[in-house]
Amino acid sequence: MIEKELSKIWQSSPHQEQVKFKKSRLILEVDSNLDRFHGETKWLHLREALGAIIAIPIFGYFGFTAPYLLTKIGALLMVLWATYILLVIKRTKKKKPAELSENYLQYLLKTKEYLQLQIKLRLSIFTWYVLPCMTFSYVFALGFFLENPEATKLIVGGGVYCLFIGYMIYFLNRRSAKKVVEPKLNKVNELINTLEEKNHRHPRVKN
Amino acid sequence: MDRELETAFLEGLEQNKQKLLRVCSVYAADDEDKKDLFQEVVINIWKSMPSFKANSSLSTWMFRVTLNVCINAQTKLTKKKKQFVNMDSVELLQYEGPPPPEEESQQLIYLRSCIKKLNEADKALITLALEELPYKEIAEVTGITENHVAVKIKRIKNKLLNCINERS
Repeated sequence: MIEKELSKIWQSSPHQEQVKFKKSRLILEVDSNLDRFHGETKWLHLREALGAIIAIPIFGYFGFTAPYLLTKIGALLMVLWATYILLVIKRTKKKKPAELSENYLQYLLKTKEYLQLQIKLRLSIFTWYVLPCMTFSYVFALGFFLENPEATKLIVGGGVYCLFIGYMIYFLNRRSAKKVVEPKLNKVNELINTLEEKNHRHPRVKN
Repeated sequence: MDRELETAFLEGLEQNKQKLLRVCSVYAADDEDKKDLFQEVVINIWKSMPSFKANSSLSTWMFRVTLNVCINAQTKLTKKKKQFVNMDSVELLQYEGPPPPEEESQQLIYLRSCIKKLNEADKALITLALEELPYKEIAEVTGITENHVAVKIKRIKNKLLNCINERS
């Protein structure tokens, strides 16, 4: 078989399958699909940030009205932390490759950057998410409990619960970085390497 | 979106629909997947139309979006979920005319399965080459140099020919 035959065989597939459009309906349908998609995306973004959005006013309120100093400190730290989380979510979204009309290599490079950021965030979740959240919420609760001398069990129990939840968040994120994101990053790296394979040593080939 | 863009979109799609579907076919696991991917491509082409600057031809630009949608489908971090509802206006129909010669069908099956064995970057290059896009346009779509495109395509074609010959 000669090379030209490959194209001929490849292009013979319309003999097996054809795409038909009803032009009059296509635009309407594409538009309604996009509306639905934008609605879902908006909801998804809101859902991701919802925890922080709810936490800010609640802890803000306690920060001003709580009678105990430790609770006040914990609440204000929680407000700062939730604001920081919102910024992290916003910054991460900016890195997501969205411009589909870029060339393939550029798109892959942007995807790589995004996936690297995802791995970094997931692997370091202990320092920017788990530790501050657990510590600040514990300090917040401690303010209430310390006023009650019989609450030692609650203080210890709460601490253990915080540690358990924190560990689970840390463990699940590390696992998803290794098992979900890393394989995708490896695949993207492999594609970039295949495309970028240096060509100056190749002889010129005519089209 | 203005009428001019809408007309360009419909005309471009009409001219390239078979080509884009063939590109989708090498990234899809089955027919259902191919249809979903193709619909996603159509929607994303429409979504990206305002960014079309006419620096390249519309069909080259459409290939670019198609490849990026195909690679995006494979690197998504969220679980695979149907993003768009089915569009009734897009149908994939079986050809009703006389069937192609059996040898041709068989070779097409071999060719498709050999292409599926390639990595995604080689798939992208070879599908564009098989659609007979000039190397210059393939270079524009993929972002690598024309000379590099030529070298790589030559290698991939050899690989494909060997694979097909082994099978047949």
